[in-house]
Amino acid sequence: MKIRSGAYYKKILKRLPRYGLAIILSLIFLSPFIIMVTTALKTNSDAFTIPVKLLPREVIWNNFPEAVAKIPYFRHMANTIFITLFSVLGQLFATPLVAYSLAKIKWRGAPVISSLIMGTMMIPYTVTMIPLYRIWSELHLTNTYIPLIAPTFFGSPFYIIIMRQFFAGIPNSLLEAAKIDGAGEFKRYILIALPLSKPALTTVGIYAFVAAWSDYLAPLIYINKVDKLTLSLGLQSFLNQFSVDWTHLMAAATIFVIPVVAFFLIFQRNFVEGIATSGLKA
Amino acid sequence: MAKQVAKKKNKGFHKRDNINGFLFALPWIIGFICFSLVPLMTSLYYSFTEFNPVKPAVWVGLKNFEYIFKDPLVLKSLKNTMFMAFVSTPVNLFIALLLAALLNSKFKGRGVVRTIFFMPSIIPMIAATMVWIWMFDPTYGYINRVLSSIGIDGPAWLVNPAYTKWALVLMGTWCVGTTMLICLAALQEVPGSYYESADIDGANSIGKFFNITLPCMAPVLIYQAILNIINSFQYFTQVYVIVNASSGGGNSNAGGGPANSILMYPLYLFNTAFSYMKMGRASAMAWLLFTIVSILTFIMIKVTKKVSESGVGGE
Amino acid sequence: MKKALSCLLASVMLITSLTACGETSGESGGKKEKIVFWYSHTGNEGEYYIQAVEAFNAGQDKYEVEALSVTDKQKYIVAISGNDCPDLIEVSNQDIISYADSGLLSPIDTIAEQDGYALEGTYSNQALEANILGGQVYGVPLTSIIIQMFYNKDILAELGYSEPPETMEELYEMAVKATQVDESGTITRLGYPLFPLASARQELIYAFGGAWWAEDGTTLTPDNEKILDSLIMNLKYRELYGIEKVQEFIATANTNRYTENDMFFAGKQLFRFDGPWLATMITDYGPDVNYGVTLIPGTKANPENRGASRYETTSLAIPVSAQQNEGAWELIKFLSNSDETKELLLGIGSLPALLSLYEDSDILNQPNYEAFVEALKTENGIQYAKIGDLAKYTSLIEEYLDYVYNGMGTPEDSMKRLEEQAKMLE
Repeated sequence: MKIRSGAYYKKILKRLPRYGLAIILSLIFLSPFIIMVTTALKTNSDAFTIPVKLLPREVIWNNFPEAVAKIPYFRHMANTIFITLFSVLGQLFATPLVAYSLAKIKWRGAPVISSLIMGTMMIPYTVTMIPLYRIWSELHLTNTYIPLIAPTFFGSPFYIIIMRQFFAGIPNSLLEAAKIDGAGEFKRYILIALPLSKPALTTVGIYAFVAAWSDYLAPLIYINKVDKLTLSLGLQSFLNQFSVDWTHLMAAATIFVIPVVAFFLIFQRNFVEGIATSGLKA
Repeated sequence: MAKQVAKKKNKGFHKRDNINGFLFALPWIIGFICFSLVPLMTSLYYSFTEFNPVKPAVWVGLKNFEYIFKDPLVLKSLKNTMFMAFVSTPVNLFIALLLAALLNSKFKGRGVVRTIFFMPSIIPMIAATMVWIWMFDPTYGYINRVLSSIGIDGPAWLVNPAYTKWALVLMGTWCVGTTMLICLAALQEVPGSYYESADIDGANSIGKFFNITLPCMAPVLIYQAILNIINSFQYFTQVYVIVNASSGGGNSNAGGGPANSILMYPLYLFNTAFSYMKMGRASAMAWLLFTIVSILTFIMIKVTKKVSESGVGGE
Repeated sequence: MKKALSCLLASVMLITSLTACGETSGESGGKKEKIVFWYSHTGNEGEYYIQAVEAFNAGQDKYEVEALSVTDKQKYIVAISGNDCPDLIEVSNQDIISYADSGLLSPIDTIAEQDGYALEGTYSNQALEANILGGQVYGVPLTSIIIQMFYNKDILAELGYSEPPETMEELYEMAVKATQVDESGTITRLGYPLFPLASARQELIYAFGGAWWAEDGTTLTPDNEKILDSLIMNLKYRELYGIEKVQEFIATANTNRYTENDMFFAGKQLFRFDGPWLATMITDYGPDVNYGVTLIPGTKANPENRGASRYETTSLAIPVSAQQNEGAWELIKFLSNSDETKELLLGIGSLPALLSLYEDSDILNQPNYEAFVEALKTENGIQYAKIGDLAKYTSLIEEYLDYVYNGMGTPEDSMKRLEEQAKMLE
């Protein structure tokens, strides 16, 4: 008994630096979040008082309602939710279709499409930005959400790759069995492949959610009416022409970030798995 | 029947499968044509023209390219971007690997720590950047406050041109979550038997890392390096926000930070298109960028192939 | 397949119906015609714009103005060139010139002429000059912007001075005496007017007689020797306290600029080259800083440089794709030349471009406005160069000044390199 506990303590001791490192690094990685929240709870003069203190000298909850009142926050949030919702729908529609075609149908174009998909990942957005802007502008669709939402209905490389990996893992025998029962390709896709791929669909949905929620450049280019702005652009109103309203900015940023963090905490497993499957396949 | 089999052998594909496959992939094919291929080609055409949203395109030949090749700011922004690509990338990989190695060892609360390390990667870039700008303030910011408590006199991060890019590098290391997770997955795939046999040979842990871990992970690391470098060529939001936040007092010029030290190529391109309204010139810049990225990608793919071929399996 | 198709169809329909909604709502204006007006002020200042627009709406029944505060410059360009274009915009005269150069604006002088409205004689000449490109006026000046010197009276008194400096040499002497550092070398009070950044790059150069372009507005003069004089004194001050320490102070001053914690409001800055809005902000935030305003100093050798400042305007302009040209023109006249103009200017703390307001007692009674109005009357503000690549030239100037100010290059060397690079500009 005694010997065992000695070994036990030795083991703990050996792991101590590991714990120390983990704690220090965790604190470093958490610090921007902490600072964002604590600054949001400070008065402006508190934030600019030396010595700098992490915790507010006096907690000011008012910054949150004030920040929300300073810009059309709920309007922006509704816009963001709208765009996000449709982007997620779009990705969930297109991604599995294309991925299924590449993973489960043996057809002539599959290898070409696969490499093209990898290829498009390499095209910087800035290269297609100007012609796309021109096209949408000619169609009189700037200041609508179509330029932001429409592309999601045609699939994105990253998600297709995740989904393809997942489909590849579904045993062919299941699909073959249905084929013998006379089910067509589309029926097999809907009735067998899709129901089995819920975890992967969740992963894609979450990624699409985060991407649409945070998108900055596309709304920056296409949306310029105040009542149509998204939250990421709305945040920028706190940097006005003369000054920066730091405490309210941090309060607004906190509310902006909360849904993403909540989503992440709930669906953490999907995030991790999605990344691992897509990243290892070079 | 025999004929059909022969036909199948001949082409290797069923006709019906070809049709179905095509139909299933159709959304992406349409998307590819509309959102990649056509814009790419149009962009090439635009690069030989002069136009802005209210003026139709006028053919000007090579004028745009002549201009951008002698524009000092194009060179400057390329240098800045290269800095991010070739300094930030290795730093990020190193940090990601370090974090992954930590997470790969067993300790209580590992899951929580992993969550904490990864979370920054999903935070909207604009919110994250604003928090960092606030933290970088030399007097009221947290970074210099912490540095001074350990006796280091921190610089004026976002004002001194010698430090601005390092501030960006630092900011980047906060968001290595994705790379970290991939490194972690790769670490877990290294066969345990390799380490066991190394233990028998009496190798120390550093030796094991360089002789076993690193070679096993090389393909993954190189692939991540490629992605990181390509992403560096898209580096926009952070610098756009930083420049906007710090340009005060009626200074309406689209700038590039102190001494243009964070004028990244995409930012300059964006300014050229949407502030200076030289969309033809911006298109030429876009094609220069595309060419550079393509060449880099090509080189990287060649390197990856080499590494994978001379790979670990044989040892 | 059917299901997928109907799914796609449904979503497409939904999206189109949603955007259609957005469009129809824009047209529902009743009998009055709707004018969309974008202005670039926010917060308290924005309120005064809203008041002015409400006064316009109440004063006639032909138009209904929808006023939107838009601060992001890039939004203007995209909006002007796309659909949903505003009918009237309020931006800086630099933007007016740049937009006009790109063909985004309708010339104003033709509209004014048709209306029998004389621009000359109504607005100051330099205000109009600032909005002219290729002989045509593209913007109606609403406010004048010049920079003069704010100084902290208490600090000066503490140093034993009763009068603000009239030459840069005097200013330097006072600045050095006023600057304080703590035990770690951190600057706690700044004497030399190194902040705000924009005036450090302009007025601090102009005070020495330096200029970035010749008076013709097209010849670039980065080789101007007076620029070097300015840089040398600037650098001398920086080196006295350590360049790094000075930059730290400036960085923080920039973080909390124009907030209640502004360095000048907090008594941590002796001299400040800034615009009249600073006085308004001091009143708004109510700090107890005891300050005065005077002309920017000249130099011992050239005392006549006193009061040298950039001259800018904020202007009203009509985009080419505007729908309501006539309504926009009515609104321009109302905002820039009516009783409401004065209220607006007083509210936002800006100087007039309207000549009739130069002698107005309410304007002159504003705290410390005399110095500004006196400087305005001389009509010798420094106009911006009218070259296509002005924004780029400015960017290059800032880059090379930053090298000097950060000790990364000598003034002579940096200005030589700037000259080299400026050669390719159009």
